[in-house]
Amino acid sequence: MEIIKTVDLHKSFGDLHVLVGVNETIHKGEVVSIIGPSGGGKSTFLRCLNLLEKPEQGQIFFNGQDITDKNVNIDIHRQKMGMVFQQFNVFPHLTVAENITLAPKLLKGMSEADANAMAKDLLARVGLLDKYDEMPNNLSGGQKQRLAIVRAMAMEPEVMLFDEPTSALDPEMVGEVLDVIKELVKTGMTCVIVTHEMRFAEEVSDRVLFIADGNILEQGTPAEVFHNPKHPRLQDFLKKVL
Amino acid sequence: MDFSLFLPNMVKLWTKYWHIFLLEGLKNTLILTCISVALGTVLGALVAMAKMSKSKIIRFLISIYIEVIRGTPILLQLYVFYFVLPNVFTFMKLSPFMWVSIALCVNSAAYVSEVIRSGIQAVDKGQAEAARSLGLSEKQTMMKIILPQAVRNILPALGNEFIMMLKETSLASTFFLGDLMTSYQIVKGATMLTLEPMTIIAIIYLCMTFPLSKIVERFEKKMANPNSYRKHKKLNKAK
Amino acid sequence: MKKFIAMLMALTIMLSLAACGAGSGNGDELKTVTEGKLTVALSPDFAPMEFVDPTKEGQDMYVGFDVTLSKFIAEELGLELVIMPMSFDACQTAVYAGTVDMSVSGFSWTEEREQNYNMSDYYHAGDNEDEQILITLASNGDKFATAEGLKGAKIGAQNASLQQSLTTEQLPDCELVIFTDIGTGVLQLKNGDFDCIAVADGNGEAIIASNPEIAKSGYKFFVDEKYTGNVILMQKGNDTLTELVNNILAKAEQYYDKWYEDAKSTAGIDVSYDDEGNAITE
Repeated sequence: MEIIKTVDLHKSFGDLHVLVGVNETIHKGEVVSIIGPSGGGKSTFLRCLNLLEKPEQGQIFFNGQDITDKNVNIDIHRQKMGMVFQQFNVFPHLTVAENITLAPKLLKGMSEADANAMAKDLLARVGLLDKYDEMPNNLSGGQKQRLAIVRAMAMEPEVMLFDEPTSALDPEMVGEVLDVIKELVKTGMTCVIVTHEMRFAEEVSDRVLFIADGNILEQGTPAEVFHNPKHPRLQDFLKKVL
Repeated sequence: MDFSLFLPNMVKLWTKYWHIFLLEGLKNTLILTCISVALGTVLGALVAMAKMSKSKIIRFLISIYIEVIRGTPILLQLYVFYFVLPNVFTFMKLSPFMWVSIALCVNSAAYVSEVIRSGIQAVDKGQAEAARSLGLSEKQTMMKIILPQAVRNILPALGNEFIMMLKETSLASTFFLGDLMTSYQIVKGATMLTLEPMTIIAIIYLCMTFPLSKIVERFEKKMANPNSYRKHKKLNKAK
Repeated sequence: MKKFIAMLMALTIMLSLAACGAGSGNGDELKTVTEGKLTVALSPDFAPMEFVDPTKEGQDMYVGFDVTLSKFIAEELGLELVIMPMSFDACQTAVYAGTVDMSVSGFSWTEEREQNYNMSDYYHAGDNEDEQILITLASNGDKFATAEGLKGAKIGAQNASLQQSLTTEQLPDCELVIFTDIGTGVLQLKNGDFDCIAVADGNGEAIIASNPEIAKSGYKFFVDEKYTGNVILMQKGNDTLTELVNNILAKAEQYYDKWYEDAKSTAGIDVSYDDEGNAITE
């Protein structure tokens, strides 16, 4: 069953044509990794999926609904699409628990008690229960990113979008964040992950997309993409990163 | 220049006119400053919102307003509010004090709006993106995520605006509105002494601005420290 | 400063022409800015013509010859006097813009003013304007008593004042330096920025009374008859008010000397005190 479908997606920043007619379908329960060179459009593609970037042309269907339609309230759909950012973007003025409970309380009318219980549960799952009452500035980068992940999960999304979740981390913290994502993948969550961690992509993905020059130049299973690349750009790219 | 009479003259002036300086001058300066900064902040917040509006026309009009206010001397603005506007808005029967207060408010609002706008824009763009990606509306994002963080940039700047205004109100003395600078002119006019009353009001101005700027400075440092968020939380809960 | 005022005036004209010019009625009925009141602008930093008596409050604070004259005019017109204090420059703008009915602030006649304002007949505040002098530091003695001795000297004069014109006309060999405020001028004189400043005699006496290091230089300007009096400024075209004021000035003439002496003694109260800070004069 398809959950996200893009049709002929175009996006430019000024003169720079970043996405050139991307067509792609992501199915429920699928884990899709997106790899490719910097500036190739992979982050932009991901950010278009929940309309953080508005495409100039083309459509994006979420659960069959065209969310680029002006009459659609995108806020409703975003509640079901969790997003994790490269720079964590945890809310520094709220406690760790409040980072998690803010949206469910505000948007789903969840009671304080229920929200707090859920926050405890989620924090326990990522090993941050002892940070419940801390302020985010007392957390390490890896802890912040783990918090950001459970913050998104608190809205019980149908799909999780990861925008280079480990790129801003010190190397020793990459593992703990990837482990959390792996746990998430095991629960059957649909995930779209923009990443530079090739080994991780190979390990968790059902499918890998190679995006360069504003479009998907090649895609397939991890085995196909990493071990039998066909497109010369992909071959070139893998040579550089592996 | 002969300074032998300076100190004795200062003492005489102070003994005789202290009430003019303190009960009149200081009082009116503080009233003018408080009115203009308080109303200027409210108005400035509205202007800042308008400046970030989606309507191009509103944004255009607001930037004209801000450019005119910031690009002309405040004295000239006082002239316009004192002489021109009462003739244009003849139905508004306001005292000169009110007109000058309004002029100072309108002036202050332009500066405050830029303070607020830049305070808001200084909040990392990722904060808004994170909030929007959770499904928060634009308004919820502003109220729950952006403003609480922007306040930390805005408050110290507002303190500085208050100090600025404290000094700018001296221009009200062009119309003898009873502020500190006016009290200098009154005493000067009555005694033909200049340097002595000038020194007295300088000391009074400094007595206000120096501690204030120290407070703002400490506040700024505190706000710059990210760990200070904790304490704010407690304050909020105490309410 | 002149450009500044010209600019303001242009702005004022543009904005207020369309609006109702409250004080500019040319009919027989006298209309004032505020009904039942005579609003007068003056710059109360010019003892003994207009200054502030700090021991009083509200409208009573304003004293001096011009204030007494304004009260007389208001009474004769059957109106309540409202004084709006403002800087000397602003006084002219206030009349021009119709913010006030008139300005009584020791104005001298000049051609530029004639073009832009209605002016009353002359009034004479004692010998205030008859004698225009130079004051200097007492230590200079009579060094600056003659035009000869003044050659190359720096003379300070208030902007847009009669003294400025007199210095330009009669002391062409001197360097004229303009200040905007008489108090600042005195300070600059004490500081040595000027050798002399040009003032009206009465004003000079008030300055000397509280600044013992300053004295008259001994030089007197020749003052043409057209300069010896003061005029009241009213809005251009307000002939009804101008006529009424001229009639009143004719009646007031007999009191001028007395008013001027009163004003001088009021000014004197505040210029010398004993060691306890109490006034000596009374």
